Amino acid sequence: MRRNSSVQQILKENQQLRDKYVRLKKNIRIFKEEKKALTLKYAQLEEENNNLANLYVASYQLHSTIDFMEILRILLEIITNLIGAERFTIMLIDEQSNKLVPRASEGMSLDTLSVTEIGKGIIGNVAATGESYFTTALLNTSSDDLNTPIVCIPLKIESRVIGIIAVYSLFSHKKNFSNMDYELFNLLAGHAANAIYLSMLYARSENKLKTLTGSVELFKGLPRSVQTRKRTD
Amino acid sequence: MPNIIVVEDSPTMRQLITFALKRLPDYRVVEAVDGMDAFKKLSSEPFDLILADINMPVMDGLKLIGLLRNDLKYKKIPIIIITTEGTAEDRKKAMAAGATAYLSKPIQTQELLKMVKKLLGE
Repeated sequence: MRRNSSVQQILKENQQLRDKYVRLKKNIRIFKEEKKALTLKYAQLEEENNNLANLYVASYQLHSTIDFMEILRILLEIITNLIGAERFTIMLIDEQSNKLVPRASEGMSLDTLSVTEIGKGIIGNVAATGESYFTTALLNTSSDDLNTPIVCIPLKIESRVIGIIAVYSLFSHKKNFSNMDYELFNLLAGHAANAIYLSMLYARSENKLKTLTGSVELFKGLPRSVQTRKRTD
Repeated sequence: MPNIIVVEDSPTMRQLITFALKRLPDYRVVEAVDGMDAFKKLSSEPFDLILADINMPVMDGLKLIGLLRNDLKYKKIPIIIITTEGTAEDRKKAMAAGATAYLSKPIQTQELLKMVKKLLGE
């Protein structure tokens, strides 16, 4: 009788241990899944952090000068080194003709690029709508057709488009554009547009100042009698 | 504290690499604008690691590696080449010149930091 009861006790304890084991196994599985999710999240955050750091450096460089040509040079450098573009151009809208004029390029001669009408073709359409264009199959692609870039990003200040960046090929070791690349490129374009626009305004005001200074100097050089006559006129 | 020299003619790229390296604690980063500038800095203080571009004015990365690998004083310093020249041929050329490792632009920060830590024995 006593033996039977102790066997029963052992069996009961055995079952309890088995239940405990199942619970522990389940907890370990949950823990492993959580660890996997956290590792993935950490890697994503790390990548975002790195991209933000890159964006910070790029925008810092873009806003480090008000010289128009220097800004274009910095932008070429950034697109090459951060985006991995091999052949690309920067086109700006000429206010007088209202057309896209190539202003800088990398991996291709500026002479080979032509003025583009707004609203015409992929490039013109990006300038007209302010919407970015990406080919759906970017993998290892490059385009020799200058009217068909693989990526075209508008240079926008709020909703006003001042130009575009058209990419025709990426470096051979850059296999594709990640989502982060798209985001980074769009954010960069925003900073670049601001920097370019400000430098253009500055150049314009500098020119006006020079003209005004010249006029004042000319006026000062005139004989007093002419100055007085001019004033009374 | 590991002493690292970044040799790059592009100010943007130089700042990007330096910014990434400075996120690691206890790393001292010195910048050089070309191979010649780097060589001068290397002769004035010891460095544990060199990160260099290939295409640079005055003295390019390959010439700098050649100079360093022919000098007993610098022979063992690990050199990471960072460049847009991403083909296998370019890689071969840099490794044959004496580079320790090779990274293609655009560089992935995690990959760069991993390589730096590995070469510094961390």
